[in-house]
Amino acid sequence: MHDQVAVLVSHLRSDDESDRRMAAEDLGTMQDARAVPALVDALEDPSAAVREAAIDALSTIGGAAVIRAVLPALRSEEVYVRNAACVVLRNIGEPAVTHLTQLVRDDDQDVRKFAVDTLGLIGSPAAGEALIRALDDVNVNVAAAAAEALGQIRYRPAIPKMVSVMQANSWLRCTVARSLGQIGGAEAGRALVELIGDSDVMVVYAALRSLGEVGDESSLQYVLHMLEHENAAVVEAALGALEQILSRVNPQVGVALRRQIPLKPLLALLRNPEPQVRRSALALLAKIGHPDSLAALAHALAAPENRDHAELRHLATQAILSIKPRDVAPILEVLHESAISPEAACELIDVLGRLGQPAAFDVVASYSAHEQPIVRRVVARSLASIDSERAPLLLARALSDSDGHTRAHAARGLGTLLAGVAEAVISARPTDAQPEIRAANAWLAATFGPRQRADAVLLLSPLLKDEYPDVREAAARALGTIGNEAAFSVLQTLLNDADEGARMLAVAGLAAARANARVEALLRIALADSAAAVCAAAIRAFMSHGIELNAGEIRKALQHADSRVRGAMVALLSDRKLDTWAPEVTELFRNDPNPRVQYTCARALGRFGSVGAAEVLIECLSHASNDPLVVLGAVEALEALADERARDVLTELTGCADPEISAAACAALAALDASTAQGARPAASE
Amino acid sequence: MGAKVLVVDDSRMARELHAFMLRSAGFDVREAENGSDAFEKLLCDSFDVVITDINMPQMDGYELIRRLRATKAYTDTPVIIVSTESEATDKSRGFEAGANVYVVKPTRPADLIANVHMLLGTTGAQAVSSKTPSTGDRAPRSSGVA
Repeated sequence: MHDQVAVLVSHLRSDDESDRRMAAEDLGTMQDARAVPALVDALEDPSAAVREAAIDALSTIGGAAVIRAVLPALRSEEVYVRNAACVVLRNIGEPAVTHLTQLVRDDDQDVRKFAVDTLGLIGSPAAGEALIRALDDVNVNVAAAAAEALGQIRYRPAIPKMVSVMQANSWLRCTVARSLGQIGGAEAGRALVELIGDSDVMVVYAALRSLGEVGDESSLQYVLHMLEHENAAVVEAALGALEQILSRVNPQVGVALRRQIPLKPLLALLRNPEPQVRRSALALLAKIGHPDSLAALAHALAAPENRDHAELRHLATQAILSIKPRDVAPILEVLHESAISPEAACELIDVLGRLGQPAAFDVVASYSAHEQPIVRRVVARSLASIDSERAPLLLARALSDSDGHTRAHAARGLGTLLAGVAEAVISARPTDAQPEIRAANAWLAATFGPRQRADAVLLLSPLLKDEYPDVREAAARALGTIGNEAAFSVLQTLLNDADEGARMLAVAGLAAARANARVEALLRIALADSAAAVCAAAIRAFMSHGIELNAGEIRKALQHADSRVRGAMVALLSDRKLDTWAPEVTELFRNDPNPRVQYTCARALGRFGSVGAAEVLIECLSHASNDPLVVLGAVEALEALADERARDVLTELTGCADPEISAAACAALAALDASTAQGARPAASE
Repeated sequence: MGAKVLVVDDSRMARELHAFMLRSAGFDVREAENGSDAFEKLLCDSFDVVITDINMPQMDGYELIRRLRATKAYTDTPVIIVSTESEATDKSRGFEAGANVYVVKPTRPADLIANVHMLLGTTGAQAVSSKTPSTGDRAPRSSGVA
């Protein structure tokens, strides 16, 4: 053991950067205090990676020996050495507090500040009294750092002393104000109210930010006065504080508080030239939800100055929705304005659709033939939400719009409408030449009441041979939704068709049907289909219905010659977490010739979380020849497993040229960190 | 829209206060909490001025400035160091790394704003963005010594 430490220490002086880094890492793992001096020297290493490894190693070793050895580094001329020392001491935490509190009285002001900063980062109340004394430091930066640290610790006994230094220079007053916000409580709230009367606007701003954090409703009236301040950032801070106060109080108090807020100055702020002020005013109005603000919010939604600010328009929409107005006339009036742009009309129609008030229907409908496709799209999207018997007719018409998005929105809208109204559309257009209309008819027929279902099957059957695939599929799915004997007979006939496409349609219909014995029996016929696409579709339908498959069926699919069938079955096993199949899935992951199947297998292994899954995935990542999709699957699975052994390989992949893999590796490392922190928390509290 | 300024400081208080000073003077301000956070933001966006602290974890201010100066888009972008360290050696290190101005905390709003305007070649009423042409020559890197 002794020799090993000596060898690793000698490697810390190697010319090779990776040798030095690995030596530092290994010394950290060994946790031998004899390595401490050499590791402290490594904090001065020119390589950031070696310094990081030395920081980690010293943090892991910890204890008095490390603290004593690291403290002198706070006096280093090199900024990165001082920062490294701070990080080590912060990581060691509580045991370093006594040593650092002694440095708070050091002759060197920079050392005093580092000590104070580090104590704030450690966050131990044991440093509270030393930090209170530091508020009187001759150097204002040290005193301000002490105030900030006391805020980080949330050290309530410091409030009287913090209040007493408020006569000091404005920088310190600002810092005290922000720290009081972190400490919170009524006493801090009272001190902050004093500070919003400060002569320095910077202090006023800091106090307002903190009053929001404290969230004490008794400060509301004082904050309201600041809405008329000449400085836009102060107004923004006041608006933010009001919103935070309303968020923190209980709902009953909140109702009373909302009544105390005068609307007029708030609505005036919606026209403020500063977007940040408008943003904060909208957020507050969304919280208040007062009907009298509706017209001003509609104007804000349509205002040209908000055209380039999607966030502001979103907030205005949220504010309108929070009001839940029964009377939408103020919005309609804005929509009627002659100078309104197509973009503004879109915003208003969208919000009217979300509100769903019948009174808006005629006005929204009047835009259904607008020359701009963007407007027609929003109309098609909104009509289905507005309760009106005329909506299906308009949407059916929109199915033949020249704009594809409009047709798509109309089709989706029609799907959500009820059967009683739909019947009228069907009977009015039984032989419409437009394929989209026929598709809509298929969907609408599916929503018929029971008495009309037999007729609907008759109506839908011819559509199964429509020239457009979407229409054919819509008809098949509609038959499945109807789910009566007549519909299943049609689907069974399709399953026996010589044409593979027809059999695929049958499976689509069965997938849309409610699971029952008939559906299960028909799907088993499809599972044995000679065409791989039909077989794979049947497996997906089994998955969506949650119907059991026997071991023979599963094994046969996993050994199928077609990758689509193998992939579909692995996806089903993954979906149901059938981890008894982990050995077969592992085998496929290692040897399947199709990267998509391997990807699905990797994801399944991540979901199973079986013993050995992590080793298999890590081992796969060590092969440079793997397809990027397989690597991605393995990384995503490792994110789910959060296995510490994967850290190195994931860290390496964060530098991968493929952005998707590198992002997935970052996500997996974050999951690993979260899992480590969760595991470490009980130990830390002990 | 005012010129775009990135404020880099690991102290939340200092960051907020500097941002407030600059916003009040009409600048468009973004914040970063250390050198690596700042460098990422600088690469994803474009900034007219960078104001940075020195002592920060992960990546310190000197390293940030060195990296900026090695990045084509930021070789000439004005950089102001705002630090608690007031020794002449600290300042000369800052200038060696590539800073234009060194300001010692606690910062006076008027000084900070004047320095930003000086480096941008603008006046208080004319804080232009990089998207519009600057009306004045930018100060040479060594002339903004605080």
